[in-house]
Amino acid sequence: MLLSDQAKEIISRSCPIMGTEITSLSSSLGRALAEDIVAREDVPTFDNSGMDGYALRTSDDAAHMDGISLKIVGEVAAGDVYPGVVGDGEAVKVMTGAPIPTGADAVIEQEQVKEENGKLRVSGPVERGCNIRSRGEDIRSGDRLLERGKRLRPFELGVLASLGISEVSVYARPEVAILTMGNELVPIDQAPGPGQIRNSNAVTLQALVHECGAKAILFDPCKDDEDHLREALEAGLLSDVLISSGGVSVGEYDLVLNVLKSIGVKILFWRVNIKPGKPVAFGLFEGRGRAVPVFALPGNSVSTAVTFIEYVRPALLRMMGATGWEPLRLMAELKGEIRKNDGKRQFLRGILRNESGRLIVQSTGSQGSAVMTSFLKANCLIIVPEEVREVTEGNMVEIKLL
Amino acid sequence: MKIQVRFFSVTRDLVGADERALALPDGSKASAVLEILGLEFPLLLEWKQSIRLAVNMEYTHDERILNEGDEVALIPPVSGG
Repeated sequence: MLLSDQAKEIISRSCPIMGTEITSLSSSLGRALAEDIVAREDVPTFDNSGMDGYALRTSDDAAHMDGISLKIVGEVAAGDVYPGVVGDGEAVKVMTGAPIPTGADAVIEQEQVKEENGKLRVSGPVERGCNIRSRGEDIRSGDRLLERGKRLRPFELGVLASLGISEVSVYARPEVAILTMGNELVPIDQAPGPGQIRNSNAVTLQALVHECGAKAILFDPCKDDEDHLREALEAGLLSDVLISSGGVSVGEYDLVLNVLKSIGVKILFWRVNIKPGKPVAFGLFEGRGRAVPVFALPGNSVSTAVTFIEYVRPALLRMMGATGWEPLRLMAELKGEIRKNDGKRQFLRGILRNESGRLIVQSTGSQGSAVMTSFLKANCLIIVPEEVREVTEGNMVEIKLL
Repeated sequence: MKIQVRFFSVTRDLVGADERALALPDGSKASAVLEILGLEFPLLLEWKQSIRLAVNMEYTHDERILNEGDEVALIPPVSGG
Protein backbone atom coordinates (compact mmCIF):
# COMPACT_ATOMS: atom_id res chain seq x y z
CA MET A 1 0.00 0.00 0.00
CA LEU A 2 1.17 3.53 -0.65
CA LEU A 3 3.23 5.05 2.14
CA SER A 4 2.35 8.44 3.58
CA ASP A 5 5.59 10.02 2.34
CA GLN A 6 4.93 8.71 -1.15
CA ALA A 7 1.44 10.19 -1.07
CA LYS A 8 2.88 13.54 -0.06
CA GLU A 9 5.36 13.36 -2.93
CA ILE A 10 2.57 12.74 -5.46
CA ILE A 11 0.53 15.64 -4.13
CA SER A 12 3.52 17.96 -4.08
CA ARG A 13 4.32 17.17 -7.73
CA SER A 14 0.75 17.68 -8.88
CA CYS A 15 -0.47 20.89 -7.33
CA PRO A 16 -0.20 24.02 -9.46
CA ILE A 17 1.04 27.31 -8.01
CA MET A 18 -1.48 30.15 -7.90
CA GLY A 19 -1.06 33.33 -9.88
CA THR A 20 0.09 36.54 -8.25
CA GLU A 21 -1.60 39.81 -7.39
CA ILE A 22 -0.80 43.18 -5.83
CA THR A 23 -2.36 43.67 -2.44
CA SER A 24 -2.25 46.35 0.21
CA LEU A 25 -0.03 45.70 3.20
CA SER A 26 -2.99 45.54 5.51
CA SER A 27 -4.50 42.65 3.53
CA SER A 28 -1.31 40.68 3.17
CA LEU A 29 -0.97 38.96 6.54
CA GLY A 30 -0.33 35.25 6.04
CA ARG A 31 0.19 35.60 2.29
CA ALA A 32 3.42 34.53 0.62
CA LEU A 33 5.52 37.11 -1.19
CA ALA A 34 5.69 36.76 -4.96
CA GLU A 35 8.74 39.01 -5.17
CA ASP A 36 12.00 39.61 -3.29
CA ILE A 37 12.01 42.75 -1.18
CA VAL A 38 15.12 44.91 -1.46
CA ALA A 39 15.46 47.93 0.81
CA ARG A 40 15.66 51.25 -0.97
CA GLU A 41 16.37 53.21 2.20
CA ASP A 42 18.42 52.95 5.35
CA VAL A 43 16.61 52.23 8.60
CA PRO A 44 16.94 54.26 10.72
CA THR A 45 17.47 57.11 8.26
CA PHE A 46 19.19 59.24 10.90
CA ASP A 47 21.30 58.70 14.02
CA ASN A 48 18.99 58.81 17.02
CA SER A 49 19.07 58.41 20.78
CA GLY A 50 18.59 54.98 22.30
CA MET A 51 17.38 56.39 25.57
CA ASP A 52 16.24 59.40 27.53
CA GLY A 53 19.34 61.33 28.56
CA TYR A 54 21.76 64.01 27.38
CA ALA A 55 23.54 64.28 24.04
CA LEU A 56 27.06 65.64 24.29
CA ARG A 57 30.36 65.90 22.48
CA THR A 58 32.97 63.45 23.79
CA SER A 59 36.70 63.87 23.96
CA ASP A 60 39.09 61.38 22.35
CA ASP A 61 39.85 59.91 25.77
CA ALA A 62 36.63 58.51 27.26
CA ALA A 63 37.96 58.65 30.81
CA HIS A 64 38.58 62.36 30.40
CA MET A 65 34.81 62.93 30.54
CA ASP A 66 34.61 61.88 34.17
CA GLY A 67 33.92 64.91 36.36
CA ILE A 68 33.32 67.29 33.47
CA SER A 69 30.69 69.94 33.93
CA LEU A 70 28.20 70.59 31.10
CA LYS A 71 25.81 73.43 30.36
CA ILE A 72 22.35 72.34 29.17
CA VAL A 73 21.69 74.33 26.02
CA GLY A 74 18.43 72.83 24.82
CA GLU A 75 16.10 69.92 24.48
CA VAL A 76 14.89 67.71 21.64
CA ALA A 77 12.11 65.10 21.65
CA ALA A 78 11.38 62.34 19.16
CA GLY A 79 9.92 63.89 16.03
CA ASP A 80 11.81 67.18 16.45
CA VAL A 81 15.17 68.42 15.24
CA TYR A 82 17.61 70.45 17.35
CA PRO A 83 18.43 73.57 15.35
CA GLY A 84 21.83 74.34 16.86
CA VAL A 85 25.24 72.71 17.15
CA VAL A 86 26.51 71.11 20.37
CA GLY A 87 29.92 72.45 21.37
CA ASP A 88 32.42 71.42 24.02
CA GLY A 89 31.01 71.72 27.53
CA GLU A 90 27.44 71.63 26.26
CA ALA A 91 24.65 69.09 26.50
CA VAL A 92 21.20 68.80 24.95
CA LYS A 93 18.47 66.89 26.73
CA VAL A 94 17.20 64.11 24.43
CA MET A 95 14.30 61.66 24.48
CA THR A 96 14.45 58.16 23.04
CA GLY A 97 14.22 58.29 19.27
CA ALA A 98 15.18 61.96 18.95
CA PRO A 99 17.75 62.76 16.23
CA ILE A 100 21.24 63.30 17.64
CA PRO A 101 21.98 67.03 17.50
CA THR A 102 24.80 68.10 15.20
CA GLY A 103 28.08 68.15 17.07
CA ALA A 104 27.05 65.51 19.62
CA ASP A 105 28.45 62.02 19.35
CA ALA A 106 27.22 60.22 22.49
CA VAL A 107 24.24 60.10 24.80
CA ILE A 108 24.51 59.59 28.52
CA GLU A 109 21.68 58.47 30.73
CA GLN A 110 20.14 60.34 33.65
CA GLU A 111 21.90 58.08 36.11
CA GLN A 112 25.30 59.16 34.90
CA VAL A 113 24.85 62.88 35.60
CA LYS A 114 24.07 65.02 38.59
CA GLU A 115 22.66 68.53 38.50
CA GLU A 116 24.89 71.02 40.25
CA ASN A 117 24.38 74.81 40.20
CA GLY A 118 22.31 74.63 37.03
CA LYS A 119 24.93 72.53 35.27
CA LEU A 120 25.36 68.79 34.75
CA ARG A 121 28.24 66.95 36.31
CA VAL A 122 29.25 63.79 34.47
CA SER A 123 30.48 60.79 36.42
CA GLY A 124 32.35 57.95 34.82
CA PRO A 125 33.85 57.59 31.32
CA VAL A 126 31.80 58.27 28.22
CA GLU A 127 32.55 56.23 25.11
CA ARG A 128 32.08 57.93 21.77
CA GLY A 129 28.88 56.62 20.13
CA CYS A 130 27.31 55.15 23.23
CA ASN A 131 23.51 54.94 23.34
CA ILE A 132 23.27 56.08 19.75
CA ARG A 133 21.29 54.07 17.19
CA SER A 134 23.13 54.74 13.99
CA ARG A 135 21.69 55.39 10.59
CA GLY A 136 21.40 52.10 8.70
CA GLU A 137 22.17 49.96 11.71
CA ASP A 138 18.98 47.94 11.18
CA ILE A 139 18.58 47.99 7.40
CA ARG A 140 20.95 49.32 4.75
CA SER A 141 19.69 50.46 1.39
CA GLY A 142 20.30 47.57 -1.02
CA ASP A 143 19.85 44.83 1.61
CA ARG A 144 17.82 41.91 0.24
CA LEU A 145 15.48 41.60 3.18
CA LEU A 146 12.83 39.10 2.20
CA GLU A 147 12.62 36.46 -0.48
CA ARG A 148 9.83 35.31 -2.70
CA GLY A 149 7.84 32.64 -0.87
CA LYS A 150 8.17 34.17 2.59
CA ARG A 151 4.89 34.14 4.46
CA LEU A 152 4.18 37.56 5.88
CA ARG A 153 3.84 37.78 9.64
CA PRO A 154 3.13 40.96 11.59
CA PHE A 155 6.91 41.49 11.95
CA GLU A 156 7.50 41.45 8.21
CA LEU A 157 4.59 43.82 7.72
CA GLY A 158 6.19 46.25 10.17
CA VAL A 159 9.50 46.17 8.35
CA LEU A 160 7.80 46.74 5.00
CA ALA A 161 5.87 49.64 6.47
CA SER A 162 9.03 51.22 7.87
CA LEU A 163 10.41 51.22 4.33
CA GLY A 164 7.35 52.96 2.98
CA ILE A 165 6.15 49.89 1.10
CA SER A 166 2.38 49.92 1.19
CA GLU A 167 1.62 47.35 -1.49
CA VAL A 168 3.19 43.97 -2.12
CA SER A 169 3.04 41.34 -4.81
CA VAL A 170 1.77 38.10 -3.27
CA TYR A 171 0.39 34.80 -4.48
CA ALA A 172 -3.37 34.59 -4.83
CA ARG A 173 -5.50 32.67 -2.36
CA PRO A 174 -7.01 29.52 -3.83
CA GLU A 175 -10.72 29.01 -3.66
CA VAL A 176 -11.45 25.63 -2.11
CA ALA A 177 -14.81 23.95 -2.72
CA ILE A 178 -15.91 21.77 0.18
CA LEU A 179 -18.38 18.98 -0.47
CA THR A 180 -19.57 16.68 2.24
CA MET A 181 -21.58 13.64 1.39
CA GLY A 182 -23.83 11.14 2.95
CA ASN A 183 -27.56 10.53 3.21
CA GLU A 184 -27.16 10.72 6.97
CA LEU A 185 -26.11 14.37 6.98
CA VAL A 186 -28.30 17.31 7.90
CA PRO A 187 -27.29 20.98 8.08
CA ILE A 188 -26.10 22.05 11.52
CA ASP A 189 -29.09 24.22 12.26
CA GLN A 190 -31.41 21.27 11.89
CA ALA A 191 -32.36 18.65 14.44
CA PRO A 192 -31.21 15.27 13.13
CA GLY A 193 -33.93 12.69 12.52
CA PRO A 194 -33.52 8.99 13.29
CA GLY A 195 -30.16 7.76 11.96
CA GLN A 196 -29.03 11.25 11.01
CA ILE A 197 -26.15 13.41 12.19
CA ARG A 198 -25.30 17.05 11.80
CA ASN A 199 -22.79 18.04 9.12
CA SER A 200 -19.95 18.95 11.45
CA ASN A 201 -17.14 18.00 9.05
CA ALA A 202 -18.17 20.81 6.76
CA VAL A 203 -17.59 23.31 9.54
CA THR A 204 -14.22 21.86 10.53
CA LEU A 205 -13.03 21.80 6.93
CA GLN A 206 -14.19 25.31 6.23
CA ALA A 207 -12.31 26.55 9.29
CA LEU A 208 -9.16 24.57 8.45
CA VAL A 209 -9.13 26.03 4.94
CA HIS A 210 -9.66 29.50 6.29
CA GLU A 211 -6.85 29.03 8.82
CA CYS A 212 -4.43 28.24 6.01
CA GLY A 213 -5.27 31.54 4.40
CA ALA A 214 -7.33 30.10 1.54
CA LYS A 215 -10.97 30.80 0.69
CA ALA A 216 -13.59 28.15 1.38
CA ILE A 217 -16.86 27.75 -0.41
CA LEU A 218 -19.21 25.29 1.14
CA PHE A 219 -21.84 23.34 -0.70
CA ASP A 220 -24.92 21.81 0.88
CA PRO A 221 -24.41 18.19 1.97
CA CYS A 222 -24.82 15.84 -0.95
CA LYS A 223 -26.89 12.68 -1.09
CA ASP A 224 -25.34 9.28 -1.79
CA ASP A 225 -26.59 8.95 -5.32
CA GLU A 226 -24.61 9.21 -8.50
CA ASP A 227 -26.58 11.99 -10.16
CA HIS A 228 -26.48 14.35 -7.21
CA LEU A 229 -22.85 13.54 -6.64
CA ARG A 230 -21.87 14.10 -10.25
CA GLU A 231 -23.54 17.46 -10.35
CA ALA A 232 -22.12 18.56 -7.02
CA LEU A 233 -18.60 17.47 -7.93
CA GLU A 234 -18.82 19.19 -11.31
CA ALA A 235 -19.79 22.41 -9.61
CA GLY A 236 -16.98 21.89 -7.11
CA LEU A 237 -14.44 21.59 -9.92
CA LEU A 238 -15.06 25.21 -10.86
CA SER A 239 -12.97 26.21 -7.86
CA ASP A 240 -9.18 25.97 -7.56
CA VAL A 241 -9.23 22.96 -5.22
CA LEU A 242 -11.94 20.45 -4.40
CA ILE A 243 -12.22 18.68 -1.06
CA SER A 244 -14.85 16.04 -0.55
CA SER A 245 -15.52 14.30 2.73
CA GLY A 246 -17.16 10.91 2.89
CA GLY A 247 -17.94 8.20 0.40
CA VAL A 248 -14.41 6.96 -0.28
CA SER A 249 -14.30 3.77 1.65
CA VAL A 250 -15.46 0.39 0.42
CA GLY A 251 -19.04 0.44 1.48
CA GLU A 252 -21.87 0.04 -0.97
CA TYR A 253 -22.60 3.74 -0.92
CA ASP A 254 -19.04 4.89 -1.40
CA LEU A 255 -19.43 6.32 -4.85
CA VAL A 256 -17.11 9.27 -4.87
CA LEU A 257 -14.16 7.82 -6.73
CA ASN A 258 -16.18 6.33 -9.56
CA VAL A 259 -18.08 9.52 -10.06
CA LEU A 260 -14.90 11.56 -9.98
CA LYS A 261 -13.42 9.34 -12.67
CA SER A 262 -16.55 9.65 -14.78
CA ILE A 263 -16.27 13.42 -14.84
CA GLY A 264 -12.65 13.37 -15.88
CA VAL A 265 -10.70 13.43 -12.63
CA LYS A 266 -7.56 11.30 -12.77
CA ILE A 267 -7.25 9.46 -9.46
CA LEU A 268 -3.56 9.44 -8.51
CA PHE A 269 -3.92 7.43 -5.36
CA TRP A 270 -6.51 5.81 -3.11
CA ARG A 271 -5.72 4.35 0.26
CA VAL A 272 -2.60 5.21 2.15
CA ASN A 273 -0.87 3.22 4.85
CA ILE A 274 -2.00 5.44 7.72
CA LYS A 275 -4.32 5.32 10.67
CA PRO A 276 -6.68 7.09 10.91
CA GLY A 277 -7.51 8.10 7.35
CA LYS A 278 -6.57 5.08 5.25
CA PRO A 279 -9.24 5.52 2.51
CA VAL A 280 -7.99 8.98 1.56
CA ALA A 281 -7.76 9.59 -2.18
CA PHE A 282 -6.18 12.29 -4.34
CA GLY A 283 -6.69 13.17 -7.96
CA LEU A 284 -6.26 15.89 -10.52
CA PHE A 285 -8.75 17.39 -12.92
CA GLU A 286 -7.18 18.89 -15.98
CA GLY A 287 -10.06 20.03 -18.10
CA ARG A 288 -10.34 23.67 -19.20
CA GLY A 289 -6.59 24.20 -19.25
CA ARG A 290 -5.92 24.33 -15.56
CA ALA A 291 -5.23 21.68 -12.93
CA VAL A 292 -7.66 21.31 -10.03
CA PRO A 293 -6.35 19.10 -7.20
CA VAL A 294 -9.06 16.92 -5.73
CA PHE A 295 -8.79 15.58 -2.19
CA ALA A 296 -11.34 12.91 -1.33
CA LEU A 297 -11.10 12.61 2.45
CA PRO A 298 -12.70 9.91 4.57
CA GLY A 299 -15.93 10.80 6.32
CA ASN A 300 -15.01 9.98 9.91
CA SER A 301 -14.42 13.35 11.51
CA VAL A 302 -11.06 12.50 13.05
CA SER A 303 -9.86 10.98 9.76
CA THR A 304 -11.02 14.09 7.93
CA ALA A 305 -9.07 16.34 10.25
CA VAL A 306 -5.89 14.24 10.26
CA THR A 307 -5.81 13.80 6.48
CA PHE A 308 -6.38 17.51 6.03
CA ILE A 309 -3.44 18.30 8.29
CA GLU A 310 -1.14 15.78 6.62
CA TYR A 311 -2.06 16.22 2.97
CA VAL A 312 -4.31 19.17 2.25
CA ARG A 313 -2.72 21.89 4.32
CA PRO A 314 0.78 21.42 2.84
CA ALA A 315 -0.75 21.42 -0.64
CA LEU A 316 -2.67 24.65 -0.04
CA LEU A 317 0.38 26.38 1.38
CA ARG A 318 2.46 25.25 -1.56
CA MET A 319 -0.21 26.48 -3.99
CA MET A 320 -0.09 29.81 -2.20
CA GLY A 321 3.60 30.03 -2.97
CA ALA A 322 4.78 29.66 0.61
CA THR A 323 8.25 28.28 1.25
CA GLY A 324 9.97 27.47 4.51
CA TRP A 325 6.71 27.23 6.41
CA GLU A 326 7.16 23.61 7.49
CA PRO A 327 7.23 23.44 11.28
CA LEU A 328 10.23 21.98 13.06
CA ARG A 329 10.08 18.27 13.66
CA LEU A 330 9.93 17.74 17.38
CA MET A 331 10.55 14.77 19.63
CA ALA A 332 9.08 14.27 23.08
CA GLU A 333 9.25 11.66 25.80
CA LEU A 334 6.30 9.32 25.86
CA LYS A 335 4.27 8.90 29.00
CA GLY A 336 2.33 5.66 28.81
CA GLU A 337 2.77 3.09 26.11
CA ILE A 338 1.93 2.72 22.45
CA ARG A 339 1.53 -0.67 20.86
CA LYS A 340 0.52 -1.34 17.30
CA ASN A 341 0.61 -4.27 15.00
CA ASP A 342 -0.72 -2.94 11.75
CA GLY A 343 2.41 -1.65 10.03
CA LYS A 344 0.72 1.70 9.45
CA ARG A 345 1.90 5.20 10.26
CA GLN A 346 -0.32 6.21 13.15
CA PHE A 347 -1.39 9.67 14.21
CA LEU A 348 -2.57 9.78 17.80
CA ARG A 349 -3.98 12.87 19.43
CA GLY A 350 -1.63 13.87 22.23
CA ILE A 351 -1.08 16.30 25.05
CA LEU A 352 2.40 17.78 25.17
CA ARG A 353 3.69 19.29 28.38
CA ASN A 354 6.92 20.81 29.57
CA GLU A 355 7.82 19.15 32.86
CA SER A 356 10.87 20.81 34.38
CA GLY A 357 12.42 21.35 30.98
CA ARG A 358 11.57 17.94 29.53
CA LEU A 359 8.94 17.64 26.81
CA ILE A 360 6.53 14.90 27.85
CA VAL A 361 3.67 13.71 25.67
CA GLN A 362 0.79 11.36 26.31
CA SER A 363 -2.18 10.23 24.29
CA THR A 364 -5.54 11.88 24.93
CA GLY A 365 -7.14 8.50 25.51
CA SER A 366 -9.68 7.02 23.11
CA GLN A 367 -8.35 7.26 19.55
CA GLY A 368 -11.37 6.06 17.60
CA SER A 369 -11.73 7.75 14.21
CA ALA A 370 -15.12 9.11 15.04
CA VAL A 371 -14.16 10.43 18.47
CA MET A 372 -13.74 14.10 17.62
CA THR A 373 -13.45 15.00 21.28
CA SER A 374 -10.01 13.35 21.18
CA PHE A 375 -8.98 16.63 19.59
CA LEU A 376 -10.39 18.89 22.27
CA LYS A 377 -7.70 18.25 24.84
CA ALA A 378 -5.00 17.65 22.26
CA ASN A 379 -2.27 20.13 21.42
CA CYS A 380 -0.30 17.80 19.19
CA LEU A 381 -0.35 14.68 17.05
CA ILE A 382 1.92 11.81 18.04
CA ILE A 383 3.36 10.25 14.90
CA VAL A 384 4.36 6.61 15.13
CA PRO A 385 6.29 5.29 12.10
CA GLU A 386 5.07 2.39 10.02
CA GLU A 387 7.55 -0.22 11.18
CA VAL A 388 7.44 0.61 14.89
CA ARG A 389 5.40 -1.90 16.90
CA GLU A 390 5.92 -0.53 20.37
CA VAL A 391 7.00 2.65 22.10
CA THR A 392 7.52 2.15 25.82
CA GLU A 393 7.33 4.74 28.54
CA GLY A 394 10.23 7.15 28.58
CA ASN A 395 11.18 6.64 24.96
CA MET A 396 11.24 9.50 22.46
CA VAL A 397 8.47 9.82 19.91
CA GLU A 398 7.85 12.37 17.15
CA ILE A 399 5.12 14.93 17.65
CA LYS A 400 3.55 17.58 15.49
CA LEU A 401 2.02 20.63 17.15
CA LEU A 402 -1.61 21.38 16.35
CA MET B 1 -28.46 35.11 -29.48
CA LYS B 2 -29.03 31.67 -28.04
CA ILE B 3 -27.35 30.40 -24.90
CA GLN B 4 -27.69 27.21 -22.85
CA VAL B 5 -28.50 27.43 -19.13
CA ARG B 6 -27.62 24.58 -16.74
CA PHE B 7 -29.36 24.25 -13.41
CA PHE B 8 -27.73 22.77 -10.34
CA SER B 9 -29.35 21.46 -7.17
CA VAL B 10 -31.94 23.86 -5.74
CA THR B 11 -32.16 25.84 -8.96
CA ARG B 12 -32.96 22.64 -10.81
CA ASP B 13 -35.75 21.89 -8.35
CA LEU B 14 -37.15 25.39 -8.79
CA VAL B 15 -37.11 25.33 -12.57
CA GLY B 16 -37.90 21.63 -12.99
CA ALA B 17 -35.26 21.00 -15.61
CA ASP B 18 -31.52 20.16 -15.91
CA GLU B 19 -30.98 22.66 -18.63
CA ARG B 20 -32.69 24.75 -21.21
CA ALA B 21 -31.96 27.07 -24.08
CA LEU B 22 -32.52 30.77 -23.64
CA ALA B 23 -32.79 33.54 -26.19
CA LEU B 24 -31.15 36.81 -25.17
CA PRO B 25 -30.40 40.11 -26.94
CA ASP B 26 -26.84 40.21 -28.35
CA GLY B 27 -24.35 41.60 -25.88
CA SER B 28 -26.42 40.70 -22.81
CA LYS B 29 -24.62 40.41 -19.49
CA ALA B 30 -24.58 37.24 -17.37
CA SER B 31 -26.91 38.95 -14.90
CA ALA B 32 -29.59 38.99 -17.60
CA VAL B 33 -30.00 35.22 -17.26
CA LEU B 34 -31.46 35.43 -13.78
CA GLU B 35 -33.48 38.51 -14.68
CA ILE B 36 -35.17 36.77 -17.61
CA LEU B 37 -35.66 33.43 -15.85
CA GLY B 38 -36.94 35.27 -12.80
CA LEU B 39 -39.90 36.52 -14.81
CA GLU B 40 -41.00 32.92 -15.36
CA PHE B 41 -39.75 31.54 -12.02
CA PRO B 42 -40.03 34.29 -9.43
CA LEU B 43 -38.76 31.95 -6.69
CA LEU B 44 -35.38 31.94 -8.42
CA LEU B 45 -34.99 35.61 -7.58
CA GLU B 46 -35.30 34.80 -3.88
CA TRP B 47 -32.12 32.76 -4.12
CA LYS B 48 -30.38 35.43 -6.17
CA GLN B 49 -27.90 36.40 -3.45
CA SER B 50 -26.58 32.88 -3.08
CA ILE B 51 -26.53 31.76 -6.69
CA ARG B 52 -23.17 31.92 -8.41
CA LEU B 53 -22.91 32.11 -12.16
CA ALA B 54 -20.43 30.16 -14.23
CA VAL B 55 -19.97 30.72 -17.94
CA ASN B 56 -18.49 27.80 -19.87
CA MET B 57 -17.54 26.22 -16.57
CA GLU B 58 -15.61 29.21 -15.20
CA TYR B 59 -17.02 31.33 -12.37
CA THR B 60 -17.81 34.80 -13.59
CA HIS B 61 -19.20 38.12 -12.43
CA ASP B 62 -22.60 39.56 -13.25
CA GLU B 63 -21.23 42.08 -15.72
CA ARG B 64 -19.61 39.50 -18.01
CA ILE B 65 -20.86 39.85 -21.60
CA LEU B 66 -22.26 36.64 -23.06
CA ASN B 67 -21.68 35.25 -26.53
CA GLU B 68 -23.71 33.00 -28.83
CA GLY B 69 -23.55 29.41 -27.66
CA ASP B 70 -22.26 30.12 -24.13
CA GLU B 71 -23.26 27.73 -21.38
CA VAL B 72 -24.31 29.52 -18.21
CA ALA B 73 -24.53 27.42 -15.05
CA LEU B 74 -26.46 28.44 -11.94
CA ILE B 75 -24.45 27.01 -9.05
CA PRO B 76 -26.39 26.15 -5.89
CA PRO B 77 -26.48 28.12 -2.65
CA VAL B 78 -23.14 28.11 -0.95
CA SER B 79 -21.65 29.74 2.08
CA GLY B 80 -18.23 31.34 1.99
CA GLY B 81 -15.44 31.78 4.48
